[in-house]
Order: sequence, then structure tokens, then C-alpha cells
Amino acid sequence: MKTVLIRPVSRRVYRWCRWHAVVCVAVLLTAMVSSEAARVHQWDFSPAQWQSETELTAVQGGLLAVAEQAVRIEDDSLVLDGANSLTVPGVVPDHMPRQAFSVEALVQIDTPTRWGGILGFLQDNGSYEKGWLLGYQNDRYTLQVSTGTSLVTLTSTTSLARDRWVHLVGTYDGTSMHLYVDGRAEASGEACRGDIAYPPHAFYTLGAYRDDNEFYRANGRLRLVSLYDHALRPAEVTARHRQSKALRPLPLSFSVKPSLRYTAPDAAVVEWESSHTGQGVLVLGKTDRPDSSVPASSPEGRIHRVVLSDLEPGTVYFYRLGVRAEGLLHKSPLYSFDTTLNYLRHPLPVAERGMANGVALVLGLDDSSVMEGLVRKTPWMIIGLDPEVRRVTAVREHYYKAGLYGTRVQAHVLNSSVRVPVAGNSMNRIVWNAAAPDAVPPVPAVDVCRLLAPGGEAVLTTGGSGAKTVLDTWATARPVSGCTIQWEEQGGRVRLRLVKDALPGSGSWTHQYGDLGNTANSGERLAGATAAEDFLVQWVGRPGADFGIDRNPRMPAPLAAAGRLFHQGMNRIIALDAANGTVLWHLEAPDLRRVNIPRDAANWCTDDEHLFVVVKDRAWVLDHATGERMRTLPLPGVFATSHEWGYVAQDGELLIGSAVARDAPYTAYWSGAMWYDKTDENATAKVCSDALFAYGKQDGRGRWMYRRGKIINTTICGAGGRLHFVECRHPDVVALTEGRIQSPQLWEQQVRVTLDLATGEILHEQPIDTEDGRVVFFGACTPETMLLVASHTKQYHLYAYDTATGDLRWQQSHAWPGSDHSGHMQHPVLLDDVVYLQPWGYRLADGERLPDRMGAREGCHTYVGGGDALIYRGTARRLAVWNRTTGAISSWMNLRPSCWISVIPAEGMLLVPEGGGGCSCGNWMETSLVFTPRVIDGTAEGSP
Amino acid sequence: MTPSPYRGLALTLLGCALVTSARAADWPTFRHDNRRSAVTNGALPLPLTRQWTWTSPVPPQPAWTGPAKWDAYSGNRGLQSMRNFDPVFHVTAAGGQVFFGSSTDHAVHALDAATGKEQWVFFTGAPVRLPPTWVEGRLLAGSDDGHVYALDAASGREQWRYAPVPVDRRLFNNGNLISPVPCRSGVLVDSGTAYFACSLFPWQPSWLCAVDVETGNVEGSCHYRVELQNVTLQGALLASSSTIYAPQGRSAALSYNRGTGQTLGPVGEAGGVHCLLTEDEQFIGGPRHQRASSDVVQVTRAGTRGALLSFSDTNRLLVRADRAWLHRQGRLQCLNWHRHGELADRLQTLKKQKPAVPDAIRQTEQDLKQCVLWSVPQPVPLEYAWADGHLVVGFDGAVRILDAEAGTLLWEAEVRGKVFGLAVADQRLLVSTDRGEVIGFAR
Repeated sequence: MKTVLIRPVSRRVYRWCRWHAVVCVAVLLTAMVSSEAARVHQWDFSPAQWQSETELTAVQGGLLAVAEQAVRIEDDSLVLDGANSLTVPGVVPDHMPRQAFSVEALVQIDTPTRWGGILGFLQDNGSYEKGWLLGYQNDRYTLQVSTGTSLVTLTSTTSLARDRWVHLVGTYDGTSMHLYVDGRAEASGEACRGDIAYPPHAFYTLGAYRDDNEFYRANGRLRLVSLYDHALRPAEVTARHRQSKALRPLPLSFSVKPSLRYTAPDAAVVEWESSHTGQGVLVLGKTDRPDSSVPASSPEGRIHRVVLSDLEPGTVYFYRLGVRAEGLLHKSPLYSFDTTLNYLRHPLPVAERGMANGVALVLGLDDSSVMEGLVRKTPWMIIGLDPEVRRVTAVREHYYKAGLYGTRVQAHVLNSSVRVPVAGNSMNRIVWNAAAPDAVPPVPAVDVCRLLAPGGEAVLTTGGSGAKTVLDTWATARPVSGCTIQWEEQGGRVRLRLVKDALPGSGSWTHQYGDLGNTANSGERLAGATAAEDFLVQWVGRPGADFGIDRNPRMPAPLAAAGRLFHQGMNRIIALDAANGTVLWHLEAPDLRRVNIPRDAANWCTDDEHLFVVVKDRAWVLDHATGERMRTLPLPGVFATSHEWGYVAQDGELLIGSAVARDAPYTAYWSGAMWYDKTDENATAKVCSDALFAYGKQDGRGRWMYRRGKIINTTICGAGGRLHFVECRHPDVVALTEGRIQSPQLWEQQVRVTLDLATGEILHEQPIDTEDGRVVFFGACTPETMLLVASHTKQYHLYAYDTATGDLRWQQSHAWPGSDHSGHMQHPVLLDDVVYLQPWGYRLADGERLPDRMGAREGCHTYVGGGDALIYRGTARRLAVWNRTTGAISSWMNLRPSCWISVIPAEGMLLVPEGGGGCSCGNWMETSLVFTPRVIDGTAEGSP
Repeated sequence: MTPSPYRGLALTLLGCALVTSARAADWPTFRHDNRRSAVTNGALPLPLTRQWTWTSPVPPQPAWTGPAKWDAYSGNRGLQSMRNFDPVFHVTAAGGQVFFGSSTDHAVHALDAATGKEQWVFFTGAPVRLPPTWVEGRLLAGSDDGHVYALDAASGREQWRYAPVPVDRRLFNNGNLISPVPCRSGVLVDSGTAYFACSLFPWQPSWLCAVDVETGNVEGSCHYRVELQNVTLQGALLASSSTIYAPQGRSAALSYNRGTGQTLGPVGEAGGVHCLLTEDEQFIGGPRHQRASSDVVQVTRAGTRGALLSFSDTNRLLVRADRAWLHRQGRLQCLNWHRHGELADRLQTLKKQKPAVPDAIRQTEQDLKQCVLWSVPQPVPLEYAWADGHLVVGFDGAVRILDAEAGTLLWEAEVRGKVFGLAVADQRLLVSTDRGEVIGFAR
């Protein structure tokens, strides 16, 4: 389909035309002709315009553009895959506009890169900079023009986002440049004057940044690209933007973004809610051109569920979602999943779907019905132990024939009557049925209790005369600490239950930095462990490096509560049993990703029952045990169409959220520029919220909303019933529509605000004027103290406020330890009565500096606290432990964390889900594991 | 003429590198012999037809997940695994039997080579990641439970088991209870001694062991149990007459004095678990690092452990006598190996010369191109074997046999999944796939 763009007509002219029809036709025709005459070249990428798989004729200008390789066209758009582009041969500067020009594109750029081009004719070689380019740098669109010796660059405020179409126009009229995104002027400049300066030779290239020594191809799509020999006026840009909407593929609008869960080794379920009512469909394939349609199981509606079956192992699948409404098919972007990451080895038992996965230990194999029942009714791994070799052999052979041995059932000979040779605190369930009234379990009660994971339960059943006495004698032979004992009697059967208590001194890591206060400390004491050798490996296994995003570039930290460990990877979440590494569930959510957390808030938090996950404009409430989505919470209505859910936290019965402008959170991760380690504005712009609000967790009803300035997400923290943050009330900043703010005015007219967490009422607020936190600006608090940390110009600045009055209690500054690899962006650790910020610790009460330096960090991690230790990435970039009391440092060879926080002390252990994989360098183990303090494991000294 | 550093030693070492008492028709250990050459002189008459298929109810469960999907910082995609030593149930075969260990059911299996019927199953306490080594009617297999087991090949009866340290605290690993020092090296047997390593966490002690094949006894001459620090030994061991080579996965392989177990040092800079020793004791290992392109397979002079040359854009090599086969730039190639080595060495020297010698460099580069004896378009191979003048190649979804000297396709068959395992024994081709199938092909 050829596209005709007409010169825009103002509303007033239009009204006039209604009364002067004859004259109007003449005006429109004149406008159209005028516009056509002014356009130098236009490229329409719809199939009809292609002469061959590689040759495209311009609909205006007659030029032939040649692709590097066969192109792929979808929905009338050219798919750019990072390996292809088009260049028009034979173009010389004389063919180009000289005094003024406009370049227009309807484009979707999926992957930010340091340098990227959409249409250009330039050379940028050292100090030799000539020509022009409509393109992008990192995640911002750019217009570059040279009228002398250098290219002047305009940069958009809108960031490019995967699967998002934008209408871009760049203009130059001889004195000023303008860059428009979706009809809105986002940047202007007058640094260029006079004729455009062209190089004698350049490449007229579509879909790439190309000059003599650089060639960066784009990832995304092109629908329409035009070059004009005059500067389009704002009204013309607006009109073209409006017209361009008709050319964009019909997008599938979601109420709830899609998610995928595996339900069997070869099956998965995809669910989403569309904004339109219609018949849902999923198109699936093994290439990025999926072609096999699977209808949604539900009839026409907005809630869609597609069951995928016969999936092959170790295979990457691509899919698009669609909803057919009123005869039109609305299609989603292309998504993918990799069945390598489906960890299910057997279908879940149908009757017990919804039950948490885990490990059950069966003591004694003389009664085969115990194991059979568990196999039939639970999804658990079932491990049998028996002193008799023949019984173990029988179980092995039986379940081997059933195809279940090893991956559902295991059996081992128990050679000890004292201790099961297995890591302590690891079993979710232990079952023993007495074979005779005088029988007792094969190991002592102390060991049964030792084996149980926190919250785990041993069910020991006996019966007959005197059986209870026998079992009671067994249970009380030695004091059993750490378990609660309960007796039940029913129908002649006696049941003894041992329920494992939480590990002493354990804490839950419920928020990005441990708790609502951002203390980087969950209260976990690690049983006094302060050195690597104080720990034993509890388990090792999944997920591995294929789960994440290359060192998880400053992604949200793992969370842990109620014995479960939650971890994010590349648009996916995995839930693990912290005690034994069992995969509880796994959810793929294509719109989940959030990075550069030092300049934003994390997208999740948890309590003991639910995981709260923010996906674009909603918070998903997921069941801890199964991952089932219990409900979703939308943004407050006033923000429904313009914003996303930003900050998320929970406290008591409240779920707290914030509204950030759409696309404000960082999501780009490709290239060194997306490491967010530099101090430029692209890395350090702060994500700010326009409002804070609270919902009731149980009823999902709104409780309160606070809305005034631009709230800096990284400063939001709470403790003791108060919520603290810093907001900017500078009118120019408040008026900004974007949520990722790099304006210098962000550091003016700042106010530190304290709200009553329960009601949202302002308790107190004070204007503050700290050093600018241009690199990072963190808030953290205890019930008594709110701390602000600002970093820039090679210094950290700490400010401690009294949370009751808001008064500044003390402030300190010190040099940051380095300007890269997170040396300049460390998050403070508030542990006991000290705040640690590399390299120093200060007493929270009065700011007095402690005499000893912290263990020296290397690499891009940040410190976390646990008991008497700080855990971090130390010398040789290994995972390291610093003893706060003695200053001793120890480390684990070949273990590295992610580039922010992937190691958390919680649930009585040190949890290390894999986050460091991706570096081409190093000997790193690239695996998940958990360390348990040696003193609480209970097995032999000296065991590895 | 100066003797080539790539010759010599070869024939004297060849004999000691073979597993004791195996017949030419056997495939008694992982990749046939202790050099892991995957080369056999046994016959393989063509054409072949599928005789039987043994299928596991659950696909192999490798010890490690795949590598990261990309190095986004550096812009590298398609990273390679450096630890995929157990993607399939690799097999060994001797005396009309086929043997393999299972990472899913923790057992050593014996099949009738003619019918594929299961003869016996021996359960260990944890996954068995490499196939048992056959020696004089005895099988030796290592398990993640920390033990090495000796079994009677005919009956599967246990003869002895050995663990270097008591396993008094097992820990969970993807649902399995494993020893903190699992045996993931396989068992290498030579001259009555079984060599193996028990190792996992580099911050904890590992063990290199040499025990008596008959008894599992660690006492006696040339037997030892050596405690090692800061290592993570995994993947099949290799051996020359004097040296044991132990891959480490993501770290450089290590070498040990075969007689004492004492550490000799790393072998070049190559990581990876796809390792082989050539007849003239060059150590070939890779992928050197996980980048998809750049130098990925490195050749090292084993004696001095100095790097000789590296091959970019390839994932593995097969070397037999003066021929090597590899895949580069979409083509399967046969190289004149010795000539190629000499020229590559010469080129290195020339490039360091001052003043520069561009003409000599250009000529040598031209000569290097002449070392390619044939080259045919093929997808990326996952495994090679050489038998009876045939180059057997495993692919994703297929196995093919080419004339090793001419490159012409002689035979092919489709299979389900990726063919990471090949063996040739008793005129049969045994194929292992990542779907958990072991397939017997014969004429």
C-alpha cells in the first residue's frame, strides 16, 4: 500500500472549508502537491515496494535501496535483526538537501546501542564530522547535523522501548534544529547555522549507523522513512504523526500482560487479559516467524488462556498473541521461551496441583504404600532410607520400571543408626510408619529434627498397645531443640508430629535492600558465621547462567521469606525452596524486566504468603508456593493510561506503590553502555514517581494517595510506621511528563517528607539541600534514623535525620573508592547501630567514624549485611566475607555475584542464586547455591 | 631438515594409551581410549540400518545448565558451554555388550549390543555422568555419590567400591543427593591402575586417586590418594605414559604426574571439557572460553604445556595420524595436520620477526590454505569418530558418515535430538542423543 502524506490543515481552516467547499478542495490539493514536491525520497517497506528479496524502490525519488541480505517483512514493516541494513548506491552530496531538510520515520527500535542509525548520510571519523543522521544513542533518539566541523546532536527525552512504534521527525531550517517524537517536540537547538556540511563521500543508509569506519546495524522495524528538502513546521509534524497511526500494525492492548508457566515436561500455559473482547489466539513456531495457531481455550472474552502441548525439550519457541475483535486481528510483539528452562521432569499429579513442591524423606521401606501414596498425591521428590539392602533394591527396581527412579523417587541404604548422612535443615517432610508396635524410627528424634527444613514436618505414625510409650521414649531420649512436638491419636493410631521452628536468628529478605528500610540487611544473624570457612554448602544447582541477563546488570535483588527464595532472570522468575533448591515454580513474563536499580526501585517485594510483582501498570499478587496469580492490582485510575507501577513495598496489611511515567524504568541491557556504570546522564538519570499510594493487601482497596512533587524512587524507605522520601518541588521538574529525570533542577527545591504509613498523612517535611546525588541518591532508614547518601565528584555524602522530628542529626563525607565497577554507587548497609559505606562505617547515633576500613570491594556488586559480617565481592572479585569485629576477610574461590545484589543473608543461610553468568572471562562456577552456617547444620565437623 | 616438533613420541605412547586388553573391535572407554581420540581401527561396514533404540523415560540431566545466553557487555551471542561433559548417555562397548551410566536413574546399564535389550542395571547412589570403562570383563564407573564402583561386566555384580573420603554429609543437587566430592571424571584405566578424581567446589579439598583395578586398594606402588586444593576437576581424564590430564570446565585443564599424583600445572590456557591427546602428545582442549567466535580450541604441547596454536570458529577437532577434521565457517574440513602445525608455528615466528617479512608471511599463509585437503558444507558437528576410514559425525537431528579422505557422504540417518555421543564397536555404530536415546546401527 502506498502512503500519501498531505500537508496538515488546521482545525480553523477545516471549519472554514466546510463552508467554502470549492475553495477547500483547491487548498487540499495544493497542500498535497506542495508536500509531494518537497519530499526528496520516501521509502515504504510494505511488500509491494520490493523488487526482490534485497531491492527496494523508493515510492518517491525513484532510488533503489539494496539490502545486505534477504529481508524479512512483517505487517508491512522491514524487520531489522542487527545483521541487515539497506544502502542506496550512487548517492552523492549533490543529491542531498543543502539549506534545510526534514527526516521522518515510523520506526520501532528494540535494542539500544551506543550508536544507531535510522536514515543518514554522514562521516564521523575522529574530529571529522559531516552530514546528518536520524538515529539513536543508547536508549534515546537523536538528530545529528553538521554545518561546519562537528555534528550537533539533539537527544530525545523519550527512551526507545522494545516493541514500541514511534513517529520521529528531525528538522533543520538553516538556523535551528528540532527533534519530534510522536508529534511532540522533545529537543531543539541553534548550534547549527547555514548550509549543511557534507563529506565528499558517505553511505546513504537505512537501518544502520554507517560511515567509513563504523557500521552498527539496528534491531527493530521500519515502516516508513522520508526525506524532505525543507523543515517541516510543527503543525505539519503533528499532522503526519496523526496520519502515521493508521500505518502502525494493530497492536494488542493488554489489561494484564502475558505470562507463561510450564505444567508438564512438554506443556505450558500462556495467560493474558486483553483490553478488547475477542477470540484469543497464540501463533507458535520454532523460528521468529511463527505460523502455527493455537486458539485460546476460553470463548470470546478478555481473559485468555492457551495450553501448549507436545513442546520439544531444549528448544527455543517464538510466539505472538492475538485477539480477533470486530474482524480485525490485534497482534502482540514477538515473544519467546526456551524449554531448556522447563525444569519439570514429570507431569504434576493432577489431584494435587496447587501443592508446593519439595522433598519428602521416607524412613523405612517395609511398607510400600507410604511411598506409593506420596508418589500419587504429591509433586515431591521422595527419598526412601532403609537399613536393609534388599528393601532399597526392591524400591529402586520397582520405580525404575515405572520410569520414576532418580527423578521422582530415590532410595538409599541407611548405614547409621545415629545420623542420616545428609545436610541438616533440608527436608520438607519426613514420614515413618511403624511396622510393629515396638518399632521406632531408625535414627534418633534429634536427627529427625535436624533434618527438617524450617517449617518442615515429620509425621511418625505407630499403633497398638504400648506403642505411644515406645515412641515417646524414642522422642525424649535426648532433648530435641528446634522442633515443636505434637501428639495425635485417632482410631487406634498414634501420630507424633515434629514441626521445625525457624532457624534461630534468621531473617527474611522481603525487599530490594532487605527490608522496607533499605538497610541491606534482613536481620539475619547467620548463627554468628563471619568467615567462608564457617559455612557449608547446603545445596547447589539450578538456575544456572542461562537463566539470567549476563551478570544481571543491576537488576532487582533476590527475595526470601518463609523458607522460599525468589530470583529474577531474563524476563522470568524462579521460586526455590531455600533449604534444598527444589524448584517450586517458574514464571515467564515478557514485560517483567527492570534494570539499573541504583537509579530506580525494584519491581517486587514479598511477605510470608505472597510475592508482589510489578509488570508495567499492575502489581501481580502471586501465591508463594505455586506461583499462581491470585489477583492483580491496577494503578489508581488517574494514572491508568499515562503511568506504570514504579516502587512497590509491603508492610503489615498494606501494599505500597508509586506511579511513574510510562517507560520510565530502565530495561535496556545490551552493550557496555547499558552497564549503568558510567556517570553520564544516560546511566544516572533518576526514575521519579508522581504519586505514592497504598492498597490493602487482603481486599485490594485503595487506602491513601500522596501526590505533590517528583519523588525520587531510590530514596523511598520506611520503618517504625513511617515512610520517608525526598521529592523535588521545582515547578519545571514537577511539570515534566517523563519519569526518568536528568535535569539539574532535580537537585533544587528538594523536600524530605515523612508520611504516616498507615494513613498517608504528612507527619513532617523539611526542605533540604544536600550535595547533589548525581551518581546515586539513596535513602535508608531505621525507626530512629533516616539516612540519605549522595554521590558525585568522587565523594560520598551521608546525612542522618531524626525520623521523629526530621532534624539533621549529623553529616559526613568521604572519598568514594573508585569511579567504576560500582565504586561510585555503593548502597549503604545499616547493621545494628552502624552504617557502612565503603570504605568506612559510622555510628548511626552520632556519625562518629569507626576506626577500621571495611573489607575492600572489587567488581560491581554492593555490600549486604548479615549478623557480624558484611558480604560482598572482594579481592580477586570473589564472593567474600568481612568480619566486622576482627576485620578478617575470607572468600570463596570461583564464586562471583551479579552486578549489584544477588547474594542475600536470609532464612538462616547465605543464599546465592546465580547472577554472575555471562562474562566471557573468568573461571566462575555459574551456578546457584546456598551456604548454611556450620554450627546449625549439625553434621560432622570438617565436612565440606 | 629439522625434525618436526609435531612428530616423534607417537608410536611409543600409542600403546600405553590404549585400555588394557581391549580388542580392536571394542570401544572400552569414553571416546575409545585414554587419549579420548574417538578413533578405532574396528570395522564399520556400510550401509547401516537402525537395529534397536533404548530410550530413557527422562532425558539426560546434565550436571550443569547451559551457558549464559550472551555476553551483552561485549556484544557476544551464542556462548558455548565449557562443561557439557554429560549431555547424553555416552556409551562404551565390549564383548557384545553396550554400557552406559545414567544421570537420570543413577545406574550403570548393560545392553545386549545386538538387540539393545537390557541385561542388567546397577544402581549407585547418585547420577553417573560418564560411561564405565571396561577392562578385562570388569567395569569401572564413577558416581556423584562420591564412589567409584567396580562391577562384573557380565552380571553387574559389585566387586568393590572406593571413595577417597567418607561421605557423611550429602547435599542436594537438582533433586539428587550427591557427595560434596562427586566423581565426575570417569575412570581411566591403564596397566592395572584406575585413575579418577573426586571434586566439585574449588574452595574445598578435591582428590586425585590411583587405585588397584582388581581390588580398589589405594595402597601399593603407584597407587595414591592425593588431596588437591583450589581445583574443580570434571570431565573425562586423559593420560599419556607419564601424565594425567584433568579438565576443569571453566578453568584451564591441569596436569599431574601419573606415578605420584603431584601437580605439574595448567595445560595452556584452554578451558573446556572437549579434550584429546594426539599421538605425538599435543593436548587439544576447548572451548577455551565461552565466546562464540575468536579462538575456541587450543593446541598445547603437552610436555611443556606451552601453547602451540588455536583454532577459531570451531568447537572440536578429531585428529588421526597426519589428518585432522574440524568445522569452520559452515564447512567440514580435513587438514594435513602435521604440515598445518609446522606452518602455523612458522607463521607465528615470522610475525614476530623484525624487520617484518611480509612476503614470507604471505607465502606461509598461502601454504596454510593448501593444508585443507577437502572441505564440504555441513552444519556444525556435535561429535566426531573415525572408524575404518570413515568419518562419523553427529549433528542436531542426524548422524552422517563421510569418506574421511575424500569428504564424500557415504551414509546418513535421521535421529531425534542432538547427537553428542558416538561409538563404534563390533561393526556397530552406537549413537547417543540428548533426548535420552541410545541407538544401535549395524549392517
